[in-house]
Amino acid sequence: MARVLIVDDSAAARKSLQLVLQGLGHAVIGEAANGIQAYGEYERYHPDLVTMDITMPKSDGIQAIERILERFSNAKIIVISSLAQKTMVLKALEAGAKHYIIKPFSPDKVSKVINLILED
Amino acid sequence: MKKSNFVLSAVCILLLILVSIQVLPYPLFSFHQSTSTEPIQGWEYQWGQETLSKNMPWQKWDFQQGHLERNPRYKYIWLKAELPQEGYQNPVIYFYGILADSLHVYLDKELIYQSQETDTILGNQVIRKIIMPLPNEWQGKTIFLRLEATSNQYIGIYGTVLLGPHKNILEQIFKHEFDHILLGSFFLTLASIMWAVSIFVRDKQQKKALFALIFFTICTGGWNIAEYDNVDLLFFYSPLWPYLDGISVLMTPIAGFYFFEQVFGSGPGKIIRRIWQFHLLYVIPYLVLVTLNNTIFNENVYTFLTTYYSWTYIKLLFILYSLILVLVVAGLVVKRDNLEIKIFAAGITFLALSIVCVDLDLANWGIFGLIVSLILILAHRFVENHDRLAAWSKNLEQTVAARTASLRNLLNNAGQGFLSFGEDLLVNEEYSEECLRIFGQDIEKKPILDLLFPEDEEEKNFLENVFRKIIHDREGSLREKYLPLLPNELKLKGQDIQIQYKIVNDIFMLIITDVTDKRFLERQVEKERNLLKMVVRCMLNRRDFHEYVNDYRNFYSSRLQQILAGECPLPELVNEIFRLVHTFKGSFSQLEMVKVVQHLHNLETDLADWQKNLRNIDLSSLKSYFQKLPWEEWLEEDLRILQSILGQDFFKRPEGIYIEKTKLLEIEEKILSSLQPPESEHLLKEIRKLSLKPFRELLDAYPEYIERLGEKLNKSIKPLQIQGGNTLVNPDKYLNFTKSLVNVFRNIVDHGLESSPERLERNKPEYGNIECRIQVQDEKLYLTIKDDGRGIKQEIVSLIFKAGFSTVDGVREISGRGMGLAAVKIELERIGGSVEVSTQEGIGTEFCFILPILE
Repeated sequence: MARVLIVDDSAAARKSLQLVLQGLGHAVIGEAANGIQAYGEYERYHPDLVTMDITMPKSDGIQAIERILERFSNAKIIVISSLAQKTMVLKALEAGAKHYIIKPFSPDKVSKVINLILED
Repeated sequence: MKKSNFVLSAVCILLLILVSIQVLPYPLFSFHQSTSTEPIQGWEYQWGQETLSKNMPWQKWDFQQGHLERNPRYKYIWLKAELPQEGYQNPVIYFYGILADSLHVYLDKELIYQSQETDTILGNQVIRKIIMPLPNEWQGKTIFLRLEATSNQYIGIYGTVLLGPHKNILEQIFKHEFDHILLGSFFLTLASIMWAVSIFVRDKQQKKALFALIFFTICTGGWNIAEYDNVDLLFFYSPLWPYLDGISVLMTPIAGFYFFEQVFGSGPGKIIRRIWQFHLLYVIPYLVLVTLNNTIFNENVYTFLTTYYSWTYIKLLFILYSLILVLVVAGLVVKRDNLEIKIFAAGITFLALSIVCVDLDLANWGIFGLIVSLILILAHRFVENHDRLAAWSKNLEQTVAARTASLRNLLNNAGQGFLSFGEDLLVNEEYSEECLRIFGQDIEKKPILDLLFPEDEEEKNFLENVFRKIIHDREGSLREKYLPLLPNELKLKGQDIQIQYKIVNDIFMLIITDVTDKRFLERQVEKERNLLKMVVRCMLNRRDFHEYVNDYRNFYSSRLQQILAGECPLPELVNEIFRLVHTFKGSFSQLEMVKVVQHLHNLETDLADWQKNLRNIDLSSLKSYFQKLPWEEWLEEDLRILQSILGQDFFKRPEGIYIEKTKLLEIEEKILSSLQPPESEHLLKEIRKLSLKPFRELLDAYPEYIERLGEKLNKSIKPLQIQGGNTLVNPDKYLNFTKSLVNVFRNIVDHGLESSPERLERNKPEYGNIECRIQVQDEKLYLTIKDDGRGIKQEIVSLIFKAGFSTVDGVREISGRGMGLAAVKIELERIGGSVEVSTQEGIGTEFCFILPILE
């Protein structure tokens, strides 16, 4: 079981991911709607894992990844994105995200990626 | 063993025995006299002290013996000889072979030479060779040598003392056994050449054999040089000399046998290997002794060393018998007509002949011959191997070419494009023919990125980034992560191409499949499916359909104008239109009217943009925008399709539905042919509902029929009332059965119901009564037909449904053939129904048909 922080500007997206994660036995300990909140929540909870949307208002996902990793180099961040944003996915990976999940996602895929990251 | 081989071996053995007899004394160093120099002869000696005693008698010195035991009473031995009376201008004296700790030379009483400490060699035993000039007027004088023996066990001179001009002496010394050094250097050169050749030898066994031969040659060269008699004249004495000399001599046969083992095998019981191993053992004590002698010089060690080393007799016998064994093995092991063994034998023969028949001193040249023969053997091996390898390689090339051709054929006809590229992202020259078709050009050395995305720089950059990440990831841990980011399918020159990626040893391999036709078919199917969905939806919800269409038309023709003409502020106005458009979109999408929905969706997008940029819009531009929109055209696209499938009439009667049966069947067929279950099943079910009928409608014809039949048979019958029967069923399934019911009604009218007078007679109402009731119970249809006629006799009730049964004697137009009710029974059974008959004589009969509900 991992303690997960979900970062996404869409409440519906957060909810659906939360359900999937809970279904897989993980605990969602925090949510953030933009990059700045994400940093604050990370600092507060030190989650095992962060799921990060890329396109968000204020501070986008990539900035958030950079900011979190600057301070917490061990942070495990997974990018959640659509294939249409694959260039951004690549940027996120280069910025230090551990892996990515392409929307629309299945619980299987989410589980596979999370386990891969947690095993590391 | 072949006879010729046997003879050959026997001759060799014989020669070897002869050689060994000659070789045993092995006096290799013998001076060749020259007239330009002369040995000083007539040497005499006496034991003595530091100065010469005149009282001691002189005795003749024996050069054959060459030494005396040290005399504990005397420290020195004096030797003298008379020099010739005349001859040579400025001659020199050459001393060689003096056993002593030190040497003093006097000409008469004049000291002309005194040895230095460094002049003694071989563990301070021997004075090295000396060339000493004589002073003027030497003629006729006596030369005295004073040899000191303090540590030596032996003392004396075993060599020669030569007199002559310096030039001649030197010439003679270097000529002496000069072949040793010549051959020695030659052998070493030969060995280094072979060493160079060995680089190109790949075969392990041959390499070993070649190294054995090189070693053999080096050893031969080594002892030739080491045994060169004048080494100590040329170089200062080094403790390495005994090693070089002894080891090279002792190792030579070992190298030879090892060579034999590698070339011809080790023979029965690995005897050859045992031989060289045994020889190797012989070397070890020698090494120990030399080392001991060099480190802790001690007379005993030295004696033992020299004895051991000069134990030539045993050594040579040893070599001889080893050679005999080798030859026997060669005869046994080697196959008939083997060129190599013949060369080997020839080499040995040459060696033997060179010693026996020509000159013992030429033994070295014999060895040289042997080496040449061994080289020839190896060369023969190489050539043979090379030929074999060449044949193999040719064979292999052909096989590879054939395989490549068949593989190429396979790949070219696989219907897929195969190409690969490396770090440079340029397509490698090997690619399958399908690629030519897909890319429409020769793709060799073309950048893969330009081929896949000729016009999309962003995709190119992205792809390059990912390709490079994957290629540089030698461990392969990132591959799994990055591969899914690569495009699986893309549009290229109007084709849909599918790409699979494989990575083999830093080479990207792409398998490209043209899926244009597949995707086209899929799109067609999708289109067809959407179309059918729309047709079925509109049919089933025809009221909604008409309502939505009318509303929509009303909206764009009048409502919209009203809204635009109203006093509403611009934002609310746009919102209002947006809301209405959105509603229409939702309504039409319920009916799966995809075309109009798509257009409305695009309109919505425009409106959404406008909502964001209201500042830049004014009412007039809004009005003209909406006026230009082809509202009706959007709708028409869907309507045309509906009309072509459902017929013109579908639009005419909004209140009901009218579809020709053939149209309906066509739709059913389309659904079946273009859709897969369960979707097709679902749609068919919906559609078939349209053709269901209330069950009672199947009996619609009978009231009139009974009326007519009654008139014809002159029976008074109340009009038939049908009760119930609104259950929807598939009429086709029941049609044959309901048609057959005519027999039942006919029988009732003809036989069951009495005529009016008869009825009145029996106190029954004048008019006969037939009741028909339809009920549903337990998912079954109960059709009851009841009359109040005369009833059926109990004994024949069970027979009435049997073929050929008739209660009347004559066949009439109406009934009496006895086939009617049997037909009913057959049709009933066909649809899985059953019948119960209850009758009471004089009161009436009731038929109850129990039917399944068929949709």
